[in-house]
Amino acid sequence: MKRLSVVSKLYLLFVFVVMYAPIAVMIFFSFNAGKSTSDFEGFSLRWYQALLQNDEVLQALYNTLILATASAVIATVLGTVAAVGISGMKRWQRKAINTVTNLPMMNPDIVTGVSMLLLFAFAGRLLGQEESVLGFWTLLIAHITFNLPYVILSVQPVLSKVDVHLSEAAQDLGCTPVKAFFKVVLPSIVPGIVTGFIMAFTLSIDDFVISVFTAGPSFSTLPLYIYSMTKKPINPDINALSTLMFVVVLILLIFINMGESRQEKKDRKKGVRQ
Amino acid sequence: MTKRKGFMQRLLAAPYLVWAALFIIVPLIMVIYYAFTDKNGAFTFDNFSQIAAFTHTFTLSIWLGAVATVICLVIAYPLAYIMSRMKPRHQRFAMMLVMLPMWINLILRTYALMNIVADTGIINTMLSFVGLPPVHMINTQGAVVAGMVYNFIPYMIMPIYNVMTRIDPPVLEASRDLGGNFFQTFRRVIFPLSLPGIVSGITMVFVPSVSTFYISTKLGGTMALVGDIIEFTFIGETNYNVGASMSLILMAMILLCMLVMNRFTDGDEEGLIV
Amino acid sequence: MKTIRLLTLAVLCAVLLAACSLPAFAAPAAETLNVYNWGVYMDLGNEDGEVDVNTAFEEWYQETFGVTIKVNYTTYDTNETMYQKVAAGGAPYDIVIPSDYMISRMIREELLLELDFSNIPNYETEIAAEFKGDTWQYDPEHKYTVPYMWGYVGIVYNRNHVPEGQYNYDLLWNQDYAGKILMMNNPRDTFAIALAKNGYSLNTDDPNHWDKAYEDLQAQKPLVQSYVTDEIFDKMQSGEAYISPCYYGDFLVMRDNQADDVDLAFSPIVGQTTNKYVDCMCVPVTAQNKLAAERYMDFMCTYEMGIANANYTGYSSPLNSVKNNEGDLEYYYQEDALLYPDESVLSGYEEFLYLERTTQARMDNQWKTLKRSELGPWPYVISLGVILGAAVAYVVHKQKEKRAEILRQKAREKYAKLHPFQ
Repeated sequence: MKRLSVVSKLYLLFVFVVMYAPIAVMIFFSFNAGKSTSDFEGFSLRWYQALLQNDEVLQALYNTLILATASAVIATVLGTVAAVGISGMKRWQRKAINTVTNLPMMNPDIVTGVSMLLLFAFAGRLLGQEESVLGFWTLLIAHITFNLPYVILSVQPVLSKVDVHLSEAAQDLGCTPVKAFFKVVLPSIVPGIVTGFIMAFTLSIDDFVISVFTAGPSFSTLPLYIYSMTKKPINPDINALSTLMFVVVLILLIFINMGESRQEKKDRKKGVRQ
Repeated sequence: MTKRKGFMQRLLAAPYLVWAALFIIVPLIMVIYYAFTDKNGAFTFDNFSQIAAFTHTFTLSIWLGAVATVICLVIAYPLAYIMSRMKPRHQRFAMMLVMLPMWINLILRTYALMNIVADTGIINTMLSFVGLPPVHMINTQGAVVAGMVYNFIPYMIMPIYNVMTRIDPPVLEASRDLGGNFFQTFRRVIFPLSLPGIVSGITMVFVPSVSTFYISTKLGGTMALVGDIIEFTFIGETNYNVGASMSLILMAMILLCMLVMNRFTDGDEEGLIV
Repeated sequence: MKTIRLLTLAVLCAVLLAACSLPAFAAPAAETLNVYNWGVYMDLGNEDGEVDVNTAFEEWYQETFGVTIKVNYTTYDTNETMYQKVAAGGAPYDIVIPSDYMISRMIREELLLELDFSNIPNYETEIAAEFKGDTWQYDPEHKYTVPYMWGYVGIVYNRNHVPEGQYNYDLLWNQDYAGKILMMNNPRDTFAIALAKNGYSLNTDDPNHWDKAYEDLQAQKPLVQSYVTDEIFDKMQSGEAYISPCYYGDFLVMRDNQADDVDLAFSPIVGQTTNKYVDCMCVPVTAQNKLAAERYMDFMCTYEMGIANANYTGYSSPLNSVKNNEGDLEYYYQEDALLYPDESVLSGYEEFLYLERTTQARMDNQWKTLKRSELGPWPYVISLGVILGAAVAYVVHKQKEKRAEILRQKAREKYAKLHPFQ
């Protein structure tokens, strides 16, 4: 890899500055002494303190992370496997399936949400269930459903670039098809899988419209908590929470990056090719 | 042997197909059912006749979605290219930096954005500080497009970056060795190879942009896009019939747009039976 | 693979972190109570000096009845969202807190259960008399509801730009403030304002009245900066907008948080009617634990809980004890008694009631037509240009390919001729 040119660096810097400007504003106002998110009245940790006492929001955050992780993992596995399967199909079959895959994205979220609610309520009556149908499992199903197209759309382009002959060559050399897949195909589509997973996780963490219709009384998520604040201004303790989340993830990332860099140096010393 | 293998491979798509049938097709059938029935369940076309009044809103939404998609593409493409040329560990870091802002709740981000572009907001405060006249930005179509771009651009960057990493540097070198300048290399090699990613990206940005509703309400002032209208029809009005017919029309229009796009890109991987 | 492992690690860390910050999971309670309320509408004790009413209830319940109970508290953003969740079924909510018009709708559609008031002894003594007579019509026989909070709509304005005075809704049509006026982002409130401006009832069924209101709103739209929900706070506090209809309780919060160069004031509506509203605790048909729900209502009618919620929300409480102890209210406004106005003032105000189906449909349609946005002709021109351009490019490209293919074919033939035996 060659070094990046100055123009490239400036461009990267510019885009990231613009992308992070609203985040910076949000972080700034999490330290506001007043309740406003547009008028800064002085520095204080008031909202961080309030956050620690706010069991509802912490529970909601916990639920959100559990749900996002579970739905993203399942969607990634299901989606990747499906993408591999679809890639072996005839062109028209592939097209038909991809059209179906795109449907949940094309539907406004509200439509997906309402139809899921009706579906679950109907299934609940069918099963004669007295207790709540809506809850963690319905949320999970809904989230997996809207995550799937993003995973498939991430894996497919990468998969289409994988040389089929490689897998065949591996099999000619004595690999079973399964082994060939894990040894040859999978490593080369990892970037697609990773992006698919990250996108699924991200979508799930931020979904409101579909969640509102599929959530029950015992399981609420952070977006549900935030969106329902329509009677009064949004509490800045949410800003504090998001700031903490952001900082934790950022530190983790930097940490990982540093670890990798050390690893790289070590490898280079040993003369091992990465 | 290969035939059996092909079958086994296709079988991998089975779990997904079952899932899609249950949670994509069934809800879709419900939407279609609602769209063609009245409140008492009798067959009717009336729901569609109400939509004529909103023709311009539909076109406006598609227009703004298209503009946002083009802007996303223009910004994301070079960014994805630059990212794919970085050191691997920097790449992973940059990729996470692209997604990280999306882990902050949409509402908080939109509020921060409102704070920045408001008449009494940060940009205008800075402008007046240096003695420049204020610029009116919020509550315009531009603000809505900016909101869409800000929100959906990671979904453009990720898939393009993904396919870019799959382009072997030797291919680029070969092109250069054969006397191609940068633009020729780009036109003949990079662009065609990155096409699947572009198509994925366009789908993932255009589709949600068109049906968005939160962003337009908060940044567009009195503006209501088709997403807002559908949201109101479903929730405020509780009129599933008209709401379903509207979303069917919206889906048809999006399908049409993607069909046109696929014709031009010869996208093989994207859906659409037609 | 490494990346995946690292990502999993990162996610796991985040989850663990969240798990650690949680209080340890308590032993499962014997009973559960599913409360479904508006967001930020109940004191949950997140700041010093506040009370967590749900925890207080759980403790009180165990002390009084000797049974452990867990309150599952979730929130919604609009009456309509709540309505759909209850109507669809599938989620056993025990308590919901809808507004007046939604209550009368849910009673009509038989979505609410009749309450057993012997389980709510505080209702008799604590709830103000006006909620038990004919003043309010949402629950005419007082069988389904226990009032939670109430209030009324007036106008909030920025005294730095709008002269001090007593106003009515005509102010919202004043050209001088074009682009600085806010309206509420739901049809019922917005149409009520236009109806009141014309001197019509807020619950009229006369189509002409609605048409006139619609015309007025259409004329007002160019003056409106934005149709708002919770952004009203930000926009008024920062001076982005000057005038807005608003609930008195919301004004108190705004004034508390206004920027230095903003001076907000509240004017009750003079000479026109306006909306007074009440949100009530109800037991929907989905309830699984009606008895506990009624006990919860009873508990909410105590002075301690009433004052906590009144201080937290800033709205007016229907409890006698809270009204008569105004000194304890943080938000009590000394100079005028706007938080608990005289009966004489309120009697001119109207609550929202159930609208006839046709009227409701008319309003919803007019609202959508009012809100719909249009675009000028130029996007069409540009789109057409782009599509034509792309089509031309496509055709040219195909032609080129065809020609190239012909050339290739010719070359192949030529080659075949030169090397006939290969």
